Amino acid sequence: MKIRIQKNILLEALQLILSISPKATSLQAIGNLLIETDANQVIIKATNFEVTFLGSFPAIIEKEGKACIQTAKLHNLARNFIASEVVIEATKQNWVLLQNGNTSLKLPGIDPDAFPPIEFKQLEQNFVLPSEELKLAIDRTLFAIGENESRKNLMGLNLEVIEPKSIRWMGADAFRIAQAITDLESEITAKGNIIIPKKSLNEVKRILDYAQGPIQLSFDENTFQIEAGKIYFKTRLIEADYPNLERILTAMGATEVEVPKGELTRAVRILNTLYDGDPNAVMKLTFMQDQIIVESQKLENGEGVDRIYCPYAGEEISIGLNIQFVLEALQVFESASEETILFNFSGSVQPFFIRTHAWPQFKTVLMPVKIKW
Amino acid sequence: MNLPLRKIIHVDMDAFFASVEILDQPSLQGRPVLVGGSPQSRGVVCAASYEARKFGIRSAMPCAEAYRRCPQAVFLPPRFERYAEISQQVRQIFYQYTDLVEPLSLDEAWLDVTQNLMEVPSATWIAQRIRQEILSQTGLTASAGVSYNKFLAKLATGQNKPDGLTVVPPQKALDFLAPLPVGVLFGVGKVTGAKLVAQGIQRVRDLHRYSLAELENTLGKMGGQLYLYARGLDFREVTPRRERKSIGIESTFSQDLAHGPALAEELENLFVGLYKRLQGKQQQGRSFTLKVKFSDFTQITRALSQRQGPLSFEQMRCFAQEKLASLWQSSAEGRKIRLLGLSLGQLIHPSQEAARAENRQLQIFDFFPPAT
Repeated sequence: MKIRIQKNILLEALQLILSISPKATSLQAIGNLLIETDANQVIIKATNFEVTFLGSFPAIIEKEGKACIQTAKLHNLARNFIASEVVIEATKQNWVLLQNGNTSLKLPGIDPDAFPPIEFKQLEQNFVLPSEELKLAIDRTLFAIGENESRKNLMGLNLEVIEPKSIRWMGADAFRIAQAITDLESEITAKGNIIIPKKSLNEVKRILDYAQGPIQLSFDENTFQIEAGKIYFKTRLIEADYPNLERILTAMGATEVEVPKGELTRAVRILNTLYDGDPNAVMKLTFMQDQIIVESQKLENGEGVDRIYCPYAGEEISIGLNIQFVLEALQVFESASEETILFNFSGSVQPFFIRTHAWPQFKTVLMPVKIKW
Repeated sequence: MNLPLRKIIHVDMDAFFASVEILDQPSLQGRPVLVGGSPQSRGVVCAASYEARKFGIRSAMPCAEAYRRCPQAVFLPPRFERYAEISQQVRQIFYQYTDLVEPLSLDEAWLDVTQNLMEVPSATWIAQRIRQEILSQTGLTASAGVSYNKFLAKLATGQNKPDGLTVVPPQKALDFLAPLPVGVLFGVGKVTGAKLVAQGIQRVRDLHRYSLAELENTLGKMGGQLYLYARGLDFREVTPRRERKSIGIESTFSQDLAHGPALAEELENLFVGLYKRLQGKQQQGRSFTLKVKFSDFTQITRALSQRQGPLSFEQMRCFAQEKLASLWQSSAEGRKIRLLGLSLGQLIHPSQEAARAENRQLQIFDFFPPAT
C-alpha cells in the first residue's frame, strides 16, 4: 500500500479515534488502526470492542493495500510533521514507511489481517436528526449522568422515543436528573429506549464537531450507531432497565422564582472557591421577600454569604443544596439566551427544579440536602 | 496610598528544638547540641544550638558535615510531640493578647495587636511582655520583631537574636532596610540573588534606583514584590489559623534498598510515623501520595484519591505496597530505592466532618422509589 494524505486530514482522523485505541492493551491489534485503500480515499478503522469507528478520508492512492499501525505513535509523529503532505507506505514485511518533507521514518506495523473484522449494518430502529440537536442533547444532560458502578443503569444517557415525533434524552445519578426533549419535524418509526454509555458520549461529541449536517441514528438491543457523512461509529449499550423517573419530573413545585443567572453563578462559584471545589460542600438558599440569601455552612475553612435581589413574595424558606451540583447545572444554562433562570420548588426537602424560558423542553432536578443550620 | 498602620509582632523561639532538648536535659547546657539524624546517617540537621552554630553548623546541613565540623557535638533525634506541646503553651500566651495569631511553624508566629484584648496601645510593650511570659512559663527564650507589617516585623526579629527585641517604627523603616543585603528579603534565593548582584544590586538601598517596570521586566512578579519590600511595604494581613494543605513524612535510608522485606519494614515505619502525626492533629485526608526516590536520584510519585470520605490506612498501605511492587517489576535495571515519602492531602477536620454529618443529601430513590 502507498498513499498520500494531507497532514491536517490525517490529524483530524487520528483525533477522532485516539481515545478509542487503547494505549496499554494486551491485545496488540486494538492499539492499532487499520488503513485500507478504496478508490480515491482511505478507510480508517479503529476499535476497542466496546466502541468501533470507521471513517473515509480523501487521499491519493499510489498503490492499493492495507496497513496497520499503532494509533498513538502515528498521532504523536504526525503532530510534529511540518510539510503538508504525508506519504504512508506499507511493505510486505509489515513495515510502515512515513515520509513528510525531509523526514523519513520506518516503523514496525502489524499484519493487517490480525486486525479484528469491523462491520456496520443497518439496525432495526433508525431515524435522522440534525447533528446540532444531538450535540445539544448530550451537552445538556452529560453532567448529570452517573458514574457509580453500583447503579449501572444510570451510567449512560437514556434515549427514549416517547412519541413518533418526540425523543427524550435523560441523564441522572442518584441525586439529580437532566432531561431534554427533542421535537422532530417528521414522524419516525423507531420505538423503545436505550442507555448509551457515558464514556462513549465524548467520542460522539467529537464526531459531531467534525461532521456537520444530518446524522443517521440507529439502534437495536445491543448497539447504538451513528452515521455522520462518511463517518460510522457504534457503541455497545448498557444492558439494564432505565428507572422510571417520571414521578419526580412531574412533581414540579408550584413556587416559581426568576433569578438573575449571572449573579447566582458568580455567588455559587465564590462558595465553591471558598471550599476548594470540595465535592461534598453544601450551600443554603434562603428565599425571602424580594431576595435570596446564598450562604455557606460555617466551617473551619471559612464561611460566605451573598445576597441576590429577585422578585419573591412567598414565605421565607431555606433549601440546602450541594454546591458542585448547583454549579454543574448552572454551567449548562450559560449558553441560554435568557439572563434569568427559573427555580421551582414546593418545600425544603422536595425536588428542586432549574429551568429557563429560553429552553422550554429542558429541565434539571436537584435533590436537596437536609440541613440543620 | 493611606492605609491604616497596623501593629505587628513577629515572635521566633531561639534554636527551638535544640533549646527544648537542653531544657529537658540540663546537663547539655553550654554544649553544642544538634537535633536531626545521627552523624553516621544521611539525614540533615533540623536545629542547632547557638553553641553549635559557632562551628558554622546550620539547619538543613547534612549530619555528616556537621559532625566533621564539630565532632564533640551532641546529636539527638527529634521529638516532635514534645516540641508541639511547648508550641501550644507558647500559643496560649499569644492568645491572651490577640486572636489574630498566624503561626508559621511550631516556633514562629505573627501577631496583629493593632486592636488587642488588653487594649494596650504599645506593641513594643506587648512584645516585651510576651517574651517574659514565654521565659517564665517554658524556660525558653524567644526573639521578637515589632513593626507595621509582617515583612518588616519578621526581618526585625532576625536582627537581634537570640533573646532580643527589635522595633522598626514607620519613620525608621527605610533607614533600617537600606544597608541590609538583598538576600534577607523574602523570596531572594541563590538564583534571584545572583541576578540582582549581576545588576549591581547588593543592598536593599540599591533597589531604589530601579522603577517597578524595570524590576518586573528583569525578575517578573518577584520584581514587583521586591519593589514594595525595598520601600517597606507589605499589604499581607495576619491570617489566623493557616490551614495545612497536607501532612507528610519521608525517610532517606541508610543504604539503598531493593524491593523486599527491608523496604516493606521501612514503609511500615513511615506509616506508623504518619499515623502519629495525624493523631496529634486529629485529621484525616482524602488524597494520598507515595514518593519514591531511586538510587540514581530520579523521583516519581503515585497518588490515590477518593471523592467522598477519608482514606483509611489500609487503603493507603495496600496502594503503596502495590505501587512499589509494580515499580520494581517495571524497572528493567531493578533500581534500588533511596527514599520513600508518604503524604496525605485534602485534609478533613473532624469537627468539619461532624458538622457535615448533620447534612443529609437526599436521593432520588429514597424520595420516590422508582417504578421500573
